[in-house]
Amino acid sequence: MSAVIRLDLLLRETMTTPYHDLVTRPTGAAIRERVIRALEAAPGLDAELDFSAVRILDYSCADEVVAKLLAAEHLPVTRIVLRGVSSEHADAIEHALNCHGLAVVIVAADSTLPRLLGAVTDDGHAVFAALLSFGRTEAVPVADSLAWPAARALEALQDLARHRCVLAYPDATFELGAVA
Amino acid sequence: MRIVPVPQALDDRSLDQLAAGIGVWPPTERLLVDAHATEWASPAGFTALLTLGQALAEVGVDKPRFTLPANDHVTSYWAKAGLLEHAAEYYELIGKVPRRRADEQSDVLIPVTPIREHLDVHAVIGRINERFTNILKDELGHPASVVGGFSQALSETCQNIVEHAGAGGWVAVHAYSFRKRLGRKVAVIAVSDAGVGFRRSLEATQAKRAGDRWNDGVAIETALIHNISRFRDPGRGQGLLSTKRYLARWQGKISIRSGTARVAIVPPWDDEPPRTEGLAWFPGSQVNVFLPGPEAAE
Repeated sequence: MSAVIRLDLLLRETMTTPYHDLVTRPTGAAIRERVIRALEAAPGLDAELDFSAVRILDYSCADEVVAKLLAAEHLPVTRIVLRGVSSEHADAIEHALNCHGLAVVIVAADSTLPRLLGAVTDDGHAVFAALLSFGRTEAVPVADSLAWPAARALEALQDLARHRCVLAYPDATFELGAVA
Repeated sequence: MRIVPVPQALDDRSLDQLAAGIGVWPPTERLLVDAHATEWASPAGFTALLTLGQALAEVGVDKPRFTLPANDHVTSYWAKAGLLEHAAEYYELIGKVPRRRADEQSDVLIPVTPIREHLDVHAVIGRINERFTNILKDELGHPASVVGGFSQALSETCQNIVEHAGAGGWVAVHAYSFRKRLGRKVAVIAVSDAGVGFRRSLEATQAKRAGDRWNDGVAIETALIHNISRFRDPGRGQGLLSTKRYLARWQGKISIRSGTARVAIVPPWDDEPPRTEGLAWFPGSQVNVFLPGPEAAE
Protein backbone atom coordinates (compact mmCIF):
# COMPACT_ATOMS: atom_id res chain seq x y z
CA MET A 1 0.00 0.00 0.00
CA SER A 2 1.58 3.30 -1.04
CA ALA A 3 -0.84 5.85 0.29
CA VAL A 4 -4.07 6.22 2.24
CA ILE A 5 -5.70 9.52 1.40
CA ARG A 6 -8.49 10.73 3.68
CA LEU A 7 -10.71 12.79 1.45
CA ASP A 8 -12.34 14.62 4.36
CA LEU A 9 -8.94 15.95 5.44
CA LEU A 10 -8.02 16.87 1.89
CA LEU A 11 -11.33 18.71 1.60
CA ARG A 12 -10.62 20.68 4.77
CA GLU A 13 -7.19 21.65 3.46
CA THR A 14 -8.60 22.60 0.06
CA MET A 15 -11.68 24.59 1.06
CA THR A 16 -11.23 27.94 2.72
CA THR A 17 -14.81 27.75 3.99
CA PRO A 18 -16.45 25.74 6.78
CA TYR A 19 -18.29 23.51 4.27
CA HIS A 20 -17.13 19.93 4.14
CA ASP A 21 -19.20 18.03 1.60
CA LEU A 22 -17.81 16.69 -1.65
CA VAL A 23 -20.08 18.66 -3.96
CA THR A 24 -19.62 20.71 -7.16
CA ARG A 25 -17.22 20.27 -10.06
CA PRO A 26 -14.68 22.92 -9.08
CA THR A 27 -14.34 21.34 -5.64
CA GLY A 28 -13.95 17.92 -7.23
CA ALA A 29 -11.33 19.15 -9.67
CA ALA A 30 -9.35 20.78 -6.86
CA ILE A 31 -9.50 17.61 -4.77
CA ARG A 32 -8.41 15.49 -7.74
CA GLU A 33 -5.34 17.68 -8.26
CA ARG A 34 -4.44 17.31 -4.59
CA VAL A 35 -4.92 13.55 -4.76
CA ILE A 36 -2.57 13.36 -7.75
CA ARG A 37 0.06 15.39 -5.87
CA ALA A 38 -0.29 13.09 -2.87
CA LEU A 39 0.11 10.02 -5.10
CA GLU A 40 3.20 11.49 -6.74
CA ALA A 41 4.70 11.85 -3.28
CA ALA A 42 4.05 8.16 -2.51
CA PRO A 43 4.18 6.07 -5.69
CA GLY A 44 3.53 2.34 -5.47
CA LEU A 45 1.14 -0.48 -6.12
CA ASP A 46 -2.05 0.51 -4.37
CA ALA A 47 -3.48 3.77 -3.14
CA GLU A 48 -6.62 4.11 -1.08
CA LEU A 49 -9.07 6.98 -1.18
CA ASP A 50 -10.91 6.97 2.14
CA PHE A 51 -14.50 8.23 1.98
CA SER A 52 -15.37 7.19 5.56
CA ALA A 53 -15.82 10.73 6.88
CA VAL A 54 -17.33 12.22 3.73
CA ARG A 55 -20.97 13.09 4.38
CA ILE A 56 -22.37 13.96 0.96
CA LEU A 57 -20.88 13.19 -2.45
CA ASP A 58 -22.74 14.40 -5.52
CA TYR A 59 -22.46 13.08 -9.06
CA SER A 60 -20.43 16.03 -10.36
CA CYS A 61 -17.82 15.65 -7.64
CA ALA A 62 -17.71 11.86 -8.12
CA ASP A 63 -17.07 12.47 -11.81
CA GLU A 64 -14.19 14.85 -11.05
CA VAL A 65 -12.62 13.04 -8.09
CA VAL A 66 -13.04 9.40 -9.07
CA ALA A 67 -13.79 9.01 -12.79
CA LYS A 68 -11.36 11.65 -14.06
CA LEU A 69 -8.70 10.46 -11.63
CA LEU A 70 -8.99 6.88 -12.90
CA ALA A 71 -8.94 8.15 -16.49
CA ALA A 72 -5.79 10.20 -15.88
CA GLU A 73 -2.67 9.03 -17.70
CA HIS A 74 0.63 8.32 -15.97
CA LEU A 75 -0.74 7.85 -12.47
CA PRO A 76 2.15 6.90 -10.18
CA VAL A 77 0.19 3.99 -8.68
CA THR A 78 -0.94 0.73 -10.22
CA ARG A 79 -4.36 0.74 -8.65
CA ILE A 80 -6.70 3.03 -6.75
CA VAL A 81 -9.09 1.51 -4.23
CA LEU A 82 -11.99 3.36 -2.61
CA ARG A 83 -12.70 2.65 1.05
CA GLY A 84 -15.50 3.66 3.42
CA VAL A 85 -17.97 4.09 0.57
CA SER A 86 -21.62 4.46 1.64
CA SER A 87 -24.48 3.30 -0.57
CA GLU A 88 -25.23 6.95 -1.48
CA HIS A 89 -21.58 7.54 -2.38
CA ALA A 90 -21.62 4.34 -4.44
CA ASP A 91 -24.65 5.52 -6.45
CA ALA A 92 -22.88 8.71 -7.48
CA ILE A 93 -19.54 7.01 -8.14
CA GLU A 94 -21.05 4.18 -10.18
CA HIS A 95 -23.01 6.60 -12.35
CA ALA A 96 -19.84 8.59 -13.02
CA LEU A 97 -17.79 5.47 -13.81
CA ASN A 98 -20.43 4.12 -16.19
CA CYS A 99 -20.38 7.39 -18.14
CA HIS A 100 -16.66 6.90 -18.83
CA GLY A 101 -16.65 3.10 -19.14
CA LEU A 102 -14.46 2.78 -16.04
CA ALA A 103 -14.41 0.49 -13.03
CA VAL A 104 -12.90 0.56 -9.57
CA VAL A 105 -12.47 -1.66 -6.52
CA ILE A 106 -14.30 -0.43 -3.44
CA VAL A 107 -14.63 -1.57 0.14
CA ALA A 108 -18.02 -0.38 1.33
CA ALA A 109 -18.46 1.36 4.67
CA ASP A 110 -20.50 -1.57 6.00
CA SER A 111 -18.26 -4.36 4.72
CA THR A 112 -14.72 -5.69 4.82
CA LEU A 113 -14.94 -7.45 1.46
CA PRO A 114 -13.86 -5.67 -1.71
CA ARG A 115 -16.24 -5.39 -4.64
CA LEU A 116 -16.34 -3.81 -8.05
CA LEU A 117 -18.17 -0.69 -9.06
CA GLY A 118 -18.74 0.69 -12.54
CA ALA A 119 -18.51 -0.70 -16.05
CA VAL A 120 -17.80 -4.35 -15.25
CA THR A 121 -19.15 -7.36 -17.11
CA ASP A 122 -20.86 -10.27 -15.36
CA ASP A 123 -17.76 -12.33 -16.12
CA GLY A 124 -15.63 -9.66 -14.50
CA HIS A 125 -17.71 -9.78 -11.32
CA ALA A 126 -17.52 -13.58 -11.32
CA VAL A 127 -13.72 -13.82 -11.64
CA PHE A 128 -13.24 -11.04 -9.09
CA ALA A 129 -15.37 -12.96 -6.59
CA ALA A 130 -13.46 -16.14 -7.39
CA LEU A 131 -10.11 -14.40 -6.86
CA LEU A 132 -11.14 -13.67 -3.27
CA SER A 133 -10.56 -17.33 -2.44
CA PHE A 134 -7.22 -17.49 -4.25
CA GLY A 135 -3.95 -15.76 -3.64
CA ARG A 136 -1.83 -14.96 -6.63
CA THR A 137 -2.99 -17.34 -9.33
CA GLU A 138 -3.08 -18.12 -13.01
CA ALA A 139 -6.35 -18.06 -14.89
CA VAL A 140 -6.83 -21.85 -14.96
CA PRO A 141 -7.71 -22.38 -11.27
CA VAL A 142 -10.16 -19.48 -11.49
CA ALA A 143 -11.69 -21.00 -14.62
CA ASP A 144 -11.94 -24.39 -12.92
CA SER A 145 -13.67 -22.90 -9.89
CA LEU A 146 -16.28 -21.35 -12.19
CA ALA A 147 -16.50 -24.35 -14.53
CA TRP A 148 -15.44 -22.12 -17.43
CA PRO A 149 -12.99 -22.60 -20.26
CA ALA A 150 -9.61 -21.15 -19.31
CA ALA A 151 -9.77 -18.61 -22.14
CA ARG A 152 -12.97 -17.09 -20.77
CA ALA A 153 -11.50 -16.60 -17.31
CA LEU A 154 -8.26 -15.24 -18.75
CA GLU A 155 -10.15 -12.72 -20.87
CA ALA A 156 -12.19 -11.55 -17.88
CA LEU A 157 -9.08 -11.26 -15.68
CA GLN A 158 -7.21 -9.34 -18.35
CA ASP A 159 -10.17 -7.01 -18.73
CA LEU A 160 -10.14 -6.33 -14.97
CA ALA A 161 -6.38 -5.77 -15.14
CA ARG A 162 -6.92 -3.21 -17.93
CA HIS A 163 -9.38 -1.47 -15.63
CA ARG A 164 -6.68 -1.65 -12.92
CA CYS A 165 -9.03 -3.57 -10.64
CA VAL A 166 -6.74 -6.59 -10.21
CA LEU A 167 -2.95 -6.78 -10.21
CA ALA A 168 -1.51 -8.57 -13.25
CA TYR A 169 2.04 -9.89 -13.46
CA PRO A 170 4.33 -10.74 -16.41
CA ASP A 171 4.09 -14.46 -15.57
CA ALA A 172 0.35 -14.39 -16.42
CA THR A 173 -0.75 -14.50 -12.78
CA PHE A 174 -3.30 -12.24 -11.15
CA GLU A 175 -4.19 -11.24 -7.60
CA LEU A 176 -6.43 -8.91 -5.64
CA GLY A 177 -3.48 -7.73 -3.60
CA ALA A 178 -3.85 -5.76 -0.41
CA VAL A 179 -7.64 -5.43 -0.62
CA ALA A 180 -8.24 -9.19 -0.36
CA MET B 1 -47.90 51.35 -14.41
CA ARG B 2 -48.74 47.78 -15.48
CA ILE B 3 -50.33 45.57 -12.84
CA VAL B 4 -49.12 41.97 -12.75
CA PRO B 5 -51.53 39.95 -10.61
CA VAL B 6 -50.04 37.21 -8.45
CA PRO B 7 -52.39 34.20 -8.27
CA GLN B 8 -54.10 33.42 -4.99
CA ALA B 9 -51.92 30.34 -4.73
CA LEU B 10 -48.59 30.75 -6.51
CA ASP B 11 -46.76 27.55 -7.37
CA ASP B 12 -44.89 25.95 -10.27
CA ARG B 13 -48.08 25.67 -12.35
CA SER B 14 -49.82 28.96 -11.53
CA LEU B 15 -46.54 30.71 -12.33
CA ASP B 16 -47.94 30.64 -15.89
CA GLN B 17 -50.63 33.14 -14.81
CA LEU B 18 -48.00 35.42 -13.27
CA ALA B 19 -45.96 35.23 -16.49
CA ALA B 20 -49.03 36.07 -18.59
CA GLY B 21 -49.45 39.31 -16.67
CA ILE B 22 -45.98 40.61 -17.49
CA GLY B 23 -46.74 41.52 -21.11
CA VAL B 24 -43.92 42.59 -23.43
CA TRP B 25 -40.33 42.04 -22.43
CA PRO B 26 -38.58 44.18 -21.45
CA PRO B 27 -41.58 46.02 -20.02
CA THR B 28 -42.28 49.44 -21.47
CA GLU B 29 -43.89 50.68 -18.28
CA ARG B 30 -43.20 50.21 -14.61
CA LEU B 31 -44.61 47.00 -13.17
CA LEU B 32 -46.69 46.57 -10.03
CA VAL B 33 -46.55 42.94 -8.96
CA ASP B 34 -49.73 42.63 -6.96
CA ALA B 35 -49.86 39.89 -4.32
CA HIS B 36 -52.43 41.57 -2.06
CA ALA B 37 -54.92 38.71 -2.55
CA THR B 38 -52.33 35.94 -2.48
CA GLU B 39 -52.90 33.42 0.29
CA TRP B 40 -50.10 30.97 -0.33
CA ALA B 41 -46.91 30.49 -2.32
CA SER B 42 -44.75 27.43 -2.77
CA PRO B 43 -40.95 27.60 -2.90
CA ALA B 44 -41.34 27.65 -6.69
CA GLY B 45 -43.43 30.80 -6.28
CA PHE B 46 -40.87 32.46 -4.02
CA THR B 47 -37.91 31.74 -6.27
CA ALA B 48 -39.86 32.82 -9.37
CA LEU B 49 -40.83 36.16 -7.82
CA LEU B 50 -37.18 36.86 -7.06
CA THR B 51 -36.16 35.76 -10.54
CA LEU B 52 -38.65 38.22 -12.02
CA GLY B 53 -37.28 41.04 -9.85
CA GLN B 54 -33.71 40.10 -10.72
CA ALA B 55 -34.48 39.95 -14.46
CA LEU B 56 -36.17 43.36 -14.34
CA ALA B 57 -33.13 44.83 -12.59
CA GLU B 58 -30.83 43.30 -15.21
CA VAL B 59 -32.72 44.88 -18.12
CA GLY B 60 -32.52 48.21 -16.33
CA VAL B 61 -36.18 49.16 -16.11
CA ASP B 62 -37.63 51.16 -13.19
CA LYS B 63 -37.63 49.21 -9.94
CA PRO B 64 -40.97 47.41 -9.86
CA ARG B 65 -43.41 47.76 -6.98
CA PHE B 66 -44.63 44.75 -5.03
CA THR B 67 -47.85 44.76 -3.05
CA LEU B 68 -47.54 42.41 -0.11
CA PRO B 69 -50.35 40.02 0.80
CA ALA B 70 -53.14 41.62 2.84
CA ASN B 71 -53.16 38.64 5.17
CA ASP B 72 -50.56 39.22 7.92
CA HIS B 73 -50.09 35.49 8.44
CA VAL B 74 -49.09 35.15 4.80
CA THR B 75 -46.57 38.01 4.91
CA SER B 76 -45.20 36.64 8.16
CA TYR B 77 -44.67 33.25 6.52
CA TRP B 78 -43.09 34.88 3.47
CA ALA B 79 -40.66 36.67 5.78
CA LYS B 80 -39.90 33.42 7.57
CA ALA B 81 -39.30 31.68 4.25
CA GLY B 82 -36.69 34.30 3.38
CA LEU B 83 -38.56 35.90 0.48
CA LEU B 84 -38.99 39.40 1.80
CA GLU B 85 -35.39 40.14 2.78
CA HIS B 86 -34.31 39.38 -0.80
CA ALA B 87 -37.39 40.91 -2.44
CA ALA B 88 -36.53 44.28 -0.88
CA GLU B 89 -33.44 44.35 -3.08
CA TYR B 90 -35.46 44.11 -6.30
CA TYR B 91 -38.88 45.55 -5.48
CA GLU B 92 -40.30 48.58 -3.77
CA LEU B 93 -42.37 46.78 -1.17
CA ILE B 94 -45.84 48.13 -0.48
CA GLY B 95 -47.50 47.07 2.75
CA LYS B 96 -46.48 46.10 6.24
CA VAL B 97 -43.17 44.27 6.16
CA PRO B 98 -42.87 41.92 9.14
CA ARG B 99 -39.75 42.26 11.25
CA ARG B 100 -39.13 38.58 11.53
CA ARG B 101 -36.12 37.21 9.72
CA ALA B 102 -35.83 34.02 7.74
CA ASP B 103 -35.55 30.93 9.87
CA GLU B 104 -35.73 27.22 9.46
CA GLN B 105 -38.78 26.15 11.40
CA SER B 106 -41.69 23.87 10.54
CA ASP B 107 -41.91 23.20 6.81
CA VAL B 108 -39.14 25.56 5.69
CA LEU B 109 -36.24 23.22 5.22
CA ILE B 110 -34.05 25.78 3.47
CA PRO B 111 -35.23 29.40 3.20
CA VAL B 112 -34.86 31.22 -0.09
CA THR B 113 -31.11 31.37 -0.69
CA PRO B 114 -29.15 33.02 -3.49
CA ILE B 115 -26.96 30.84 -5.70
CA ARG B 116 -24.29 32.80 -7.53
CA GLU B 117 -21.21 30.59 -7.32
CA HIS B 118 -20.14 27.11 -6.33
CA LEU B 119 -19.49 28.10 -2.73
CA ASP B 120 -23.19 28.95 -2.43
CA VAL B 121 -23.98 25.34 -3.37
CA HIS B 122 -21.68 24.20 -0.55
CA ALA B 123 -23.52 26.56 1.81
CA VAL B 124 -26.91 25.12 0.84
CA ILE B 125 -25.75 21.52 1.21
CA GLY B 126 -24.16 22.48 4.52
CA ARG B 127 -27.62 23.37 5.81
CA ILE B 128 -28.75 19.76 5.53
CA ASN B 129 -28.69 18.91 9.21
CA GLU B 130 -30.28 16.57 11.70
CA ARG B 131 -33.52 18.57 11.75
CA PHE B 132 -33.73 18.40 7.97
CA THR B 133 -33.16 14.65 8.08
CA ASN B 134 -35.80 14.22 10.77
CA ILE B 135 -38.43 16.02 8.69
CA LEU B 136 -37.80 13.71 5.75
CA LYS B 137 -37.94 10.74 8.11
CA ASP B 138 -40.74 11.67 10.51
CA GLU B 139 -43.04 13.83 8.39
CA LEU B 140 -42.58 12.17 5.02
CA GLY B 141 -41.89 8.69 6.35
CA HIS B 142 -38.65 8.12 4.48
CA PRO B 143 -35.71 6.06 5.71
CA ALA B 144 -32.66 8.12 6.68
CA SER B 145 -30.91 6.84 3.57
CA VAL B 146 -33.17 9.03 1.41
CA VAL B 147 -31.30 12.14 2.57
CA GLY B 148 -28.12 11.37 0.64
CA GLY B 149 -29.93 11.20 -2.69
CA PHE B 150 -32.02 14.25 -1.86
CA SER B 151 -28.83 16.18 -1.08
CA GLN B 152 -27.30 15.04 -4.36
CA ALA B 153 -30.41 16.19 -6.26
CA LEU B 154 -30.30 19.53 -4.46
CA SER B 155 -26.63 19.98 -5.27
CA GLU B 156 -27.00 19.10 -8.94
CA THR B 157 -30.03 21.35 -9.51
CA CYS B 158 -28.27 24.27 -7.81
CA GLN B 159 -25.11 23.67 -9.85
CA ASN B 160 -27.11 24.00 -13.07
CA ILE B 161 -27.47 27.69 -12.24
CA VAL B 162 -23.74 28.21 -11.86
CA GLU B 163 -22.77 26.01 -14.80
CA HIS B 164 -25.35 27.02 -17.39
CA ALA B 165 -27.43 30.08 -16.52
CA GLY B 166 -24.85 32.83 -16.86
CA ALA B 167 -26.65 34.67 -14.05
CA GLY B 168 -27.41 34.12 -10.41
CA GLY B 169 -30.45 32.31 -9.13
CA TRP B 170 -32.35 31.12 -6.10
CA VAL B 171 -33.13 27.93 -4.27
CA ALA B 172 -35.67 27.08 -1.59
CA VAL B 173 -36.62 23.73 -0.05
CA HIS B 174 -39.87 23.13 1.81
CA ALA B 175 -41.93 20.17 2.89
CA TYR B 176 -45.66 20.74 2.64
CA SER B 177 -48.90 18.90 2.04
CA PHE B 178 -49.93 18.22 -1.54
CA ARG B 179 -53.57 17.94 -0.60
CA LYS B 180 -55.05 18.33 -4.08
CA ARG B 181 -52.61 16.34 -6.10
CA LEU B 182 -51.48 13.66 -3.68
CA GLY B 183 -53.03 14.01 -0.23
CA ARG B 184 -49.59 13.62 1.33
CA LYS B 185 -46.59 15.66 2.30
CA VAL B 186 -43.92 16.27 -0.29
CA ALA B 187 -40.43 17.73 -0.03
CA VAL B 188 -39.90 20.24 -2.81
CA ILE B 189 -36.70 21.71 -4.18
CA ALA B 190 -37.33 24.88 -6.18
CA VAL B 191 -34.50 26.37 -8.19
CA SER B 192 -34.93 29.40 -10.42
CA ASP B 193 -32.51 31.64 -12.26
CA ALA B 194 -32.70 34.70 -14.46
CA GLY B 195 -30.14 33.37 -16.90
CA VAL B 196 -30.07 32.53 -20.58
CA GLY B 197 -32.54 29.63 -20.39
CA PHE B 198 -32.21 26.11 -21.80
CA ARG B 199 -32.76 27.14 -25.41
CA ARG B 200 -29.90 29.64 -25.55
CA SER B 201 -27.64 27.48 -23.41
CA LEU B 202 -27.90 24.57 -25.84
CA GLU B 203 -28.36 26.52 -29.09
CA ALA B 204 -24.75 26.42 -30.27
CA THR B 205 -24.45 22.64 -30.05
CA GLN B 206 -28.00 21.37 -30.54
CA ALA B 207 -30.08 23.79 -32.65
CA LYS B 208 -28.77 22.59 -36.01
CA ARG B 209 -29.69 19.01 -35.20
CA ALA B 210 -33.30 19.97 -34.40
CA GLY B 211 -33.62 22.35 -37.35
CA ASP B 212 -37.01 24.05 -37.58
CA ARG B 213 -38.22 22.14 -34.53
CA TRP B 214 -35.78 23.96 -32.24
CA ASN B 215 -37.67 25.76 -29.50
CA ASP B 216 -37.84 25.99 -25.70
CA GLY B 217 -39.64 22.66 -25.31
CA VAL B 218 -37.16 20.76 -27.49
CA ALA B 219 -34.26 22.41 -25.65
CA ILE B 220 -35.58 21.34 -22.25
CA GLU B 221 -36.23 17.80 -23.54
CA THR B 222 -32.68 17.67 -24.94
CA ALA B 223 -31.32 18.27 -21.45
CA LEU B 224 -33.91 16.53 -19.28
CA ILE B 225 -34.91 13.53 -21.40
CA HIS B 226 -31.76 12.98 -23.49
CA ASN B 227 -29.23 14.09 -20.84
CA ILE B 228 -27.35 16.32 -23.26
CA SER B 229 -25.30 19.23 -22.00
CA ARG B 230 -23.62 22.05 -23.88
CA PHE B 231 -20.34 20.53 -22.68
CA ARG B 232 -18.84 17.71 -24.78
CA ASP B 233 -17.11 15.87 -21.94
CA PRO B 234 -18.70 12.39 -21.52
CA GLY B 235 -19.27 13.01 -17.83
CA ARG B 236 -21.29 16.17 -18.40
CA GLY B 237 -25.07 16.41 -18.68
CA GLN B 238 -25.43 13.60 -16.16
CA GLY B 239 -26.38 15.60 -13.08
CA LEU B 240 -30.03 15.75 -14.12
CA LEU B 241 -29.88 12.04 -14.99
CA SER B 242 -28.67 11.17 -11.50
CA THR B 243 -31.52 13.26 -10.10
CA LYS B 244 -34.04 11.51 -12.38
CA ARG B 245 -32.80 8.08 -11.29
CA TYR B 246 -33.17 9.03 -7.64
CA LEU B 247 -36.68 10.38 -8.19
CA ALA B 248 -37.71 7.29 -10.14
CA ARG B 249 -36.88 5.23 -7.06
CA TRP B 250 -39.34 7.24 -4.94
CA GLN B 251 -42.00 8.12 -7.52
CA GLY B 252 -40.75 11.68 -7.45
CA LYS B 253 -41.26 14.31 -10.08
CA ILE B 254 -39.07 16.83 -11.85
CA SER B 255 -40.37 19.67 -13.97
CA ILE B 256 -38.45 22.32 -15.85
CA ARG B 257 -39.89 25.54 -17.21
CA SER B 258 -37.80 27.73 -19.46
CA GLY B 259 -38.95 30.48 -21.78
CA THR B 260 -42.36 29.45 -23.11
CA ALA B 261 -42.34 25.72 -22.33
CA ARG B 262 -42.39 23.27 -19.46
CA VAL B 263 -41.30 19.64 -19.59
CA ALA B 264 -41.92 17.25 -16.73
CA ILE B 265 -41.23 13.64 -15.88
CA VAL B 266 -44.58 12.85 -14.36
CA PRO B 267 -45.25 10.11 -11.79
CA PRO B 268 -48.65 8.37 -11.64
CA TRP B 269 -49.88 10.61 -8.81
CA ASP B 270 -49.69 13.79 -10.89
CA ASP B 271 -51.68 14.97 -13.90
CA GLU B 272 -49.30 17.45 -15.49
CA PRO B 273 -48.75 16.95 -19.24
CA PRO B 274 -45.20 15.81 -19.99
CA ARG B 275 -44.65 18.79 -22.28
CA THR B 276 -46.51 22.11 -22.35
CA GLU B 277 -45.71 24.71 -24.98
CA GLY B 278 -46.98 28.16 -25.85
CA LEU B 279 -46.82 29.39 -22.28
CA ALA B 280 -46.35 33.06 -21.51
CA TRP B 281 -42.61 33.81 -21.53
CA PHE B 282 -40.84 33.99 -18.18
CA PRO B 283 -37.16 34.82 -17.63
CA GLY B 284 -34.48 32.16 -17.17
CA SER B 285 -35.23 28.63 -16.02
CA GLN B 286 -37.20 27.09 -13.19
CA VAL B 287 -36.45 23.57 -12.00
CA ASN B 288 -38.72 21.89 -9.45
CA VAL B 289 -38.08 18.56 -7.79
CA PHE B 290 -40.82 16.82 -5.80
CA LEU B 291 -40.10 13.98 -3.40
CA PRO B 292 -43.28 12.41 -1.98
CA GLY B 293 -43.40 10.19 1.04
CA PRO B 294 -42.97 6.51 0.20
CA GLU B 295 -46.66 5.66 0.70
CA ALA B 296 -47.37 7.46 -2.55
CA ALA B 297 -45.44 4.76 -4.30
CA GLU B 298 -47.55 1.96 -2.89
